[in-house]
Amino acid sequence: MSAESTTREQIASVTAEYLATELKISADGISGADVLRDLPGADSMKLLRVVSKLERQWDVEFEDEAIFAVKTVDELVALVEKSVGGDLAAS
Amino acid sequence: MTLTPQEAYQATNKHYELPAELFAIYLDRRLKYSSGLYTDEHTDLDQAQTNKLHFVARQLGLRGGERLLDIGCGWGSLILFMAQEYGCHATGVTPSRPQADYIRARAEETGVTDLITLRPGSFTEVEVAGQFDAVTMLGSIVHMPNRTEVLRKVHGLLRRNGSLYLSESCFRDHATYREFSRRPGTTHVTEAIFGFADMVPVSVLVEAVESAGFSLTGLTDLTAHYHRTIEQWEQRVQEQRERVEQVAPGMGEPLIRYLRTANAGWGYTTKHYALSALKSRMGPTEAP
Repeated sequence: MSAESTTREQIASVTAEYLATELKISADGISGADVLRDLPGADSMKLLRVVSKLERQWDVEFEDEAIFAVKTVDELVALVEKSVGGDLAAS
Repeated sequence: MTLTPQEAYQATNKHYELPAELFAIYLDRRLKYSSGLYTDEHTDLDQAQTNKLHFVARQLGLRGGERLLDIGCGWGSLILFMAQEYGCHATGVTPSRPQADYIRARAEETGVTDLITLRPGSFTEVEVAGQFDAVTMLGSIVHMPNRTEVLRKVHGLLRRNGSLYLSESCFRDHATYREFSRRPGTTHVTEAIFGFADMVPVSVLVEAVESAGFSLTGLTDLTAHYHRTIEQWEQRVQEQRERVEQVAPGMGEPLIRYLRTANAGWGYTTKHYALSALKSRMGPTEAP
């Protein structure tokens, strides 16, 4: 298993965990194709808190336009992956 | 005057493709084509430019070894200095082939080839790899009509908490811009000399920095320092008029006219500002 795929799994796992904690739902019940706004209890403020935690966790800052373009859990994971990937490539 | 970024890039290139020997006549030994920083009345041009480069490093918070990108790097004064003095891995973007060749030669002479990367072309179009700790733009955004787009790209290239230093000559407010930007004295500088330069008020630059997602952390007025710098440039041109004509025939008179026009306007029609910004949602200081 490459370092990159480990990172992708870690990102997906951390993202699901943050969503679950923020929305007070089970992480197991969250799938990649789920639309973020349709998750139980989701609203824009809670989702922004998840984004903020992800930025701190991975020490990145997403582009605002990219944040607002995200619709699904997978897209959120991909956004993190892209930002973190840029960091890894540079180091 | 509305130009596309591509048209502005082509128009701007002419001046910066004149032989380096011309600029060596009136600029400092590093060929830094922007304001110096004067600490006292005896500061000479070389010292003022050295002071200024240290000032930029301080504004950026450089400690050594950072990855730095200089957009519109001229003859490489800043990237070579940051590589030599701070061990930075410095990338320069310049559309001018003669400038790029000059920088390569200087990097070799000073033994910093491994730390210097050059990206020839227009910043809007070049691919720049990786993430940077710091980005500098000294007097280059004036040549780019797509300011916000440019700064968004810069924002995307910076790491979290990465810093930006941008300095520019500006009309002092919107009314002055409307009144003076199309006058013959101005267009001699902005079009005849530089091809394309749009000296928007600093409020427009602040708005672009803000729209690109930055946290604005500092604004310094360097007007008096640019006035002194240009005084010293003009004095050098005057002292070596014959040499100017040898290197660039017909350039003496328009060059002096440009320098005099620029220096007449400072504080009345124009200002020179340095802006500092961070890619940081919360700004430079962490709350305890």
